[in-house]
Amino acid sequence: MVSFVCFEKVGKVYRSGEVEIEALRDVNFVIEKGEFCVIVGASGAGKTTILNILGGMDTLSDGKVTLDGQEVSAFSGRRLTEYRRYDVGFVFQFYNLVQNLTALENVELAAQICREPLKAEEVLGQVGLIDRMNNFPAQLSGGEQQRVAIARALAKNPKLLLCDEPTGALDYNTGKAVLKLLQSTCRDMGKTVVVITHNQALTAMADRIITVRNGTVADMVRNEKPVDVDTLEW
Amino acid sequence: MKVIRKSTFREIKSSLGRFLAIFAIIALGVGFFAGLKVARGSMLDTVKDYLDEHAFYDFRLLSALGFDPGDTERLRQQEDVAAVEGAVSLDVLYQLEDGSQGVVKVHSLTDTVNTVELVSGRFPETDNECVADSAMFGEGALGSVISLSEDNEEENLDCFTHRDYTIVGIVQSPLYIQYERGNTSLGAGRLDGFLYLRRDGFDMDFDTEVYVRFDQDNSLYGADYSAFRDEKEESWEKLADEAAQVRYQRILTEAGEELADAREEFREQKAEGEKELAEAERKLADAERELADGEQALADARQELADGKRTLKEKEQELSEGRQTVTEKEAELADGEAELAKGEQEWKDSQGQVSSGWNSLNAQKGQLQQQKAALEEQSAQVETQAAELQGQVTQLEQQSAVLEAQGEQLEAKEAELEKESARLISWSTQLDVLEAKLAAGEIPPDQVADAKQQVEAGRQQVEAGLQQVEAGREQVEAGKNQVEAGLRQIAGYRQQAEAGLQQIAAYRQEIESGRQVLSSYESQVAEAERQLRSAESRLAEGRKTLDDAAREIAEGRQAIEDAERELADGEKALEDARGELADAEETLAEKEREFQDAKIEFADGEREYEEGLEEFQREIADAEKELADAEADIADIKAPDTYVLGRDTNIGFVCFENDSGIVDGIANIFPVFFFLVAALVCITTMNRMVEEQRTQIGVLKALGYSNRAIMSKYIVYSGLAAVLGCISGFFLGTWGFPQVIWYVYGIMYRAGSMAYVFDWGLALISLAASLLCSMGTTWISCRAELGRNAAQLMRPKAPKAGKRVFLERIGFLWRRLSFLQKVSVRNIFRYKKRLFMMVVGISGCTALLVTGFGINDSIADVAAQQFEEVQTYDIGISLQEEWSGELERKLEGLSGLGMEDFLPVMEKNMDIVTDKGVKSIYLVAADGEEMQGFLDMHTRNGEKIAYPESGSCVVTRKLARQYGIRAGDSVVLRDEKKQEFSVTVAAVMENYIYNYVYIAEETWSAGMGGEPEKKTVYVNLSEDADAHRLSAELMNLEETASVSVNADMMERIGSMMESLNIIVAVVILCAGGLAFVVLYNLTNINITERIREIATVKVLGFFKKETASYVLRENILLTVMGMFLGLLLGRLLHAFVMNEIQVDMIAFDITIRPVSYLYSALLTVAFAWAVNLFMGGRLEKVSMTESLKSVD
Repeated sequence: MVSFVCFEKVGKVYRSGEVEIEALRDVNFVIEKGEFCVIVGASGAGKTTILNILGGMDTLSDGKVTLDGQEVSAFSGRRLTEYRRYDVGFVFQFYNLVQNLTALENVELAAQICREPLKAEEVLGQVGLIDRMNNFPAQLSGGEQQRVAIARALAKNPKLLLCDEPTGALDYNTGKAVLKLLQSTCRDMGKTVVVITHNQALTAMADRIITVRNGTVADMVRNEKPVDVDTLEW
Repeated sequence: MKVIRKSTFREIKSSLGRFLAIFAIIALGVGFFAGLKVARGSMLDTVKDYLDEHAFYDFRLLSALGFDPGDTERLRQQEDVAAVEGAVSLDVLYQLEDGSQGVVKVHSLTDTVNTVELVSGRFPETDNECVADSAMFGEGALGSVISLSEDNEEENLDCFTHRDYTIVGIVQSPLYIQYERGNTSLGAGRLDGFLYLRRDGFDMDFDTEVYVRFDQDNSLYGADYSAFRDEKEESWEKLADEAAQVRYQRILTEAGEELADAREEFREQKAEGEKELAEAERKLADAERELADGEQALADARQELADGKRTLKEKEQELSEGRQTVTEKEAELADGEAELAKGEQEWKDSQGQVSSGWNSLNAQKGQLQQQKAALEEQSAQVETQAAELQGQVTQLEQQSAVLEAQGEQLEAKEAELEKESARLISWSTQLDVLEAKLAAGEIPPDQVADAKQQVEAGRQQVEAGLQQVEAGREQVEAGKNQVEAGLRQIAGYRQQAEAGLQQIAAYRQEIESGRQVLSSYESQVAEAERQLRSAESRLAEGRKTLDDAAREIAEGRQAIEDAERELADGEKALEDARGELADAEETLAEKEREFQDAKIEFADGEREYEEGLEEFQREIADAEKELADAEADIADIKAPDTYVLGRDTNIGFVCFENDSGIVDGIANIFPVFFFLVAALVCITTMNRMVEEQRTQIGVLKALGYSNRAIMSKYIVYSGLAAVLGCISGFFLGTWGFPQVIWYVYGIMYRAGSMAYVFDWGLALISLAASLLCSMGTTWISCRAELGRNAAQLMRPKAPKAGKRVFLERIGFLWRRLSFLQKVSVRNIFRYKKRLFMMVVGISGCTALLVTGFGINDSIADVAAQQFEEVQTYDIGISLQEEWSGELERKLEGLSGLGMEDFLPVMEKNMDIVTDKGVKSIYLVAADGEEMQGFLDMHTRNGEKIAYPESGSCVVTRKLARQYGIRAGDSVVLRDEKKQEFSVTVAAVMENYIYNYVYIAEETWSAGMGGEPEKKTVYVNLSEDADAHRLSAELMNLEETASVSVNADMMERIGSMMESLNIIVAVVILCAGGLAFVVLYNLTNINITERIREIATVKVLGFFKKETASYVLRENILLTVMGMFLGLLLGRLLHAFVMNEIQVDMIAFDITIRPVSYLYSALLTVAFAWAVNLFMGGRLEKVSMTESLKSVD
């Protein structure tokens, strides 16, 4: 039985002129379907590169990446765009909402390009923003904006939800609320969620913890007893 | 401050696109403004310089009789005169080497006025060389000959020194700055070009015209010049009259003198003729005498010839005898020669035999020698073999002896062995005994053992001994055998040797017999040698005999040859004699013929004399009549009319004034657009830049930099772009625009190359405007940001909040839009300044295009409209004298050439006096009924207008508009003598070229008294008539002054207007530049500002096209908006520009064809599309990782 997400001997080398920088080397890990996975590591460890590759934003130099049986690493150009479009949902650290679209429209922006989108209003309801859906981003707080961003990602009904430091720009409590939302998304909707963070504290809530160090996977453990977000402290 | 400056320059480097956008728009604006502004000035300067350089005339004096070449001194002394020079010009039919024909105007070269410019070749050095029109001839024509056609009037040809002129140079003349060469009364009615000859290339004793150039520096077409000219004109008309009078007097005097001379000559020639006749009579008598003498001489010659023939016969007989003798001698000699040849052959054979005998003898000798040597060698070999055999025999004997000795030894050894054997046998016997004893027990037991031992040992010894003996025997036996074999062998060898010796003996015998044979051969050879020697001595004797015989024969041959030579000489002498005889016969015949001819000649001479006498009498009568005629002619010569013509009669000069005016109108409005757009581009660009660098500004502020220092960066940035743009734009514009326009005019005009004019004032205005556009807007942008405090600035600015646009309130419309269209609509209205910039820029672009195309539409068809819709007649004739019944008959006679109808009218130059001023117009007075087919009177809207009744008039549109004349107004018409009358305006009619006032004939009679003076004829042609042929015919009528074919005019003006295409192209180019800068700038700003958004959208999975349309759809929308606005604006702009392009004589039809709108719209879309395509590439390059970066 092949795992849902599978990194096999993935390597990534950036070339800038004569200089070659090895960002990833021999990265191997798997994530099973429906898992809440935390990829943790210090800045510059290679988390973001993993995210870029997994999210179809960047290509790899070496190895193989598969998602749900399809070999992502073999995609190129339009097929990669389709992959981003139909299979992956993104949550950015800085929300990246389109400023002159309302919350609802921001969700629709993603929803309308998908094959089987969820209803935008419903998703916004799920993240608890049904009252604010006609507000522009500038009129929302950071946490609300991040929830809109999550809703935008969820509305696409992706196979995989990728979150890049989702709490990075948020205060403690708001961050927790967002994490809670992500956790419940995983538990209730059965989505596979990958959170990338430098915050070790988050590992306790994950089903799987992948520690990245110096461009490779230092450790991968399954956490049989993930705790509830509320008990986390940082 | 240094750091700020550094940062400024780094900024320029990193945001070159933005810098260039400002640079480009300023350059465009300034270029357009300065270039157009300076264009007309440059053109006028160029033409003025050209005309000054070539001493263009101010007055051209004409007189029907021409002027006296020596009479210019008085004119030159007048006030302000710079130069006065008489010149000749004549139209003439020419023919080129390739047979082509046409009409040219031939001028005389002048030194002080109207000097021509040499394009290639050289000026004429002799009176049969010429320089030719550069518009007609290329460099290839140098050296070719142009001939005056035989079709020219004799009178015309007589004005030239030669019939053929060689083209040695190609020139341009200031008299012809335009391509138009003028009309003529010769040939097809149009001049092909001009030629210049030296004055002595004309065989004329008077000048046809006098050119005057004043010392003045008035502007080319200004009022100052007109005033100057008008002032001079009056006095010069008198001067011209006086000069013509001088000429007139001279002609009269000269003619009188000539007549007197002719009379004198007549008398002289008459006397001469009479003298000649007397002489002829005397000559006839002499000839008769000579004939008689000739007859006598001929008879003598015949006698002499007969004598000669007889002598010749005798000589021939002698010669044939001599020839017989020689033939006999030759036969004898041939026999002797045959014998000699035979002897010679025999001698040669013998000699051959002897020499071959020698050869074989020598060969035999050689063989003999070789055989002898071989025999001796054989003998030596045999002897050595014999010696060897003897040696072998001796050896064999020795070996035999040795073997025999060995045999004896073996015999001895055998014997010994026999003895030993015996001894052993005996011992054995003893042992047998002992054994027996033992067996018997005879031996005491104590000795038994010993005995047994003894026996045993003994037996062993015996046994061993016997074995030894046996071995010995065997050895001996073997030895014996060997000896025997050896002996047998030796015996064999001996036999062989014996046989060898016998053989040798046989060899010896053979050798001996060989020697004997050889010696007998030797004696034979010696004998042969002796025989050969005796044969040789016999040969030598034979040779001597033969040589003697040969010498004798040679002597005989010599004798015969001498004889033959003598014979040949004799024959030749005979032949010569015969030739002489024949010659003599011929001469005689010739003489006889001559004699006959002379007789005939004499008869002719007599007849001629009779005829000459008769002719002489007739000629005398003719000459007397001619003299009488000439006298009458002189009496007929009339005093000449004179004219003073100004520059305004030179076609090129006049047309240039009108044509150059077109440019000026355009210059006033277009640049405003560009500066407006420039300001908008600057303000949006700098706004964005300041916004982008908000944090940096905050930091600088926090560090304590003053507002001024911080602002300086942006001011310098935009200022630098503007100054650079201004400089490039100014120089490119002021250089390029005049060049382009001059190039366009170059199609029609040739007046040197464009001078670059630098206008300080214009440069300063341009600079000020561009600085205002750039630095001013920057200052406004900066001021707002710099007003905030540092802390505020360093915090990221809240992104501009999204807003609902009014369109959303129109629910049904908003719902129709696709989601992404909604986004675009909202984006468009998010930034009002950019919206404004885009719409203004794009609408400006479209408006420019519409205007450009519209100008073309309005101007290009003017001629066609005038001659197809208004003045529908085909040919206009101006007459020298008033219309007459005689001319009417002549014109009717031309109906065969396609002349359908004609109408005489009065077309008169008059002034119209209105409240707003006085204007020169053409007054046409005609019969309204008949005017129908020649003129189509209608209003601008196409409604028909009836020909005015008595007391009213119809005026043309331009005139009406300029002077505010409306139907029902009253206007006053005034002629040159200030006589005037007033009429009521009945209607305003559409008309494009010139200003006309039409009245009925009665109106004229009522107003001015008298019948109108009809000196113009309108002609209509049938469909298939050849207008040019007819026009040439008309020109030939003595009553016509000039003929103009409207179709020609149409074509000429039409081709002129084609040059407008370049103007349109320039406008399109500029419009394209404008669209590009604006679109590029906006898209650039959009992309840099929304880079995160674009990256996010890409991460969300937007396809390439979707991303592009997400960003660029705004461009498209704005382009469409701007385009529609531009179509509207273009219409207004066009109307304005057309209003500015005021050409005095022409009323443009201000229309824009629908297709021009379409072209403008399409071109605008094409520009936008090009920019979008270009920017699409930049979108591609936006990296998705931008979406992960923090907000800065």
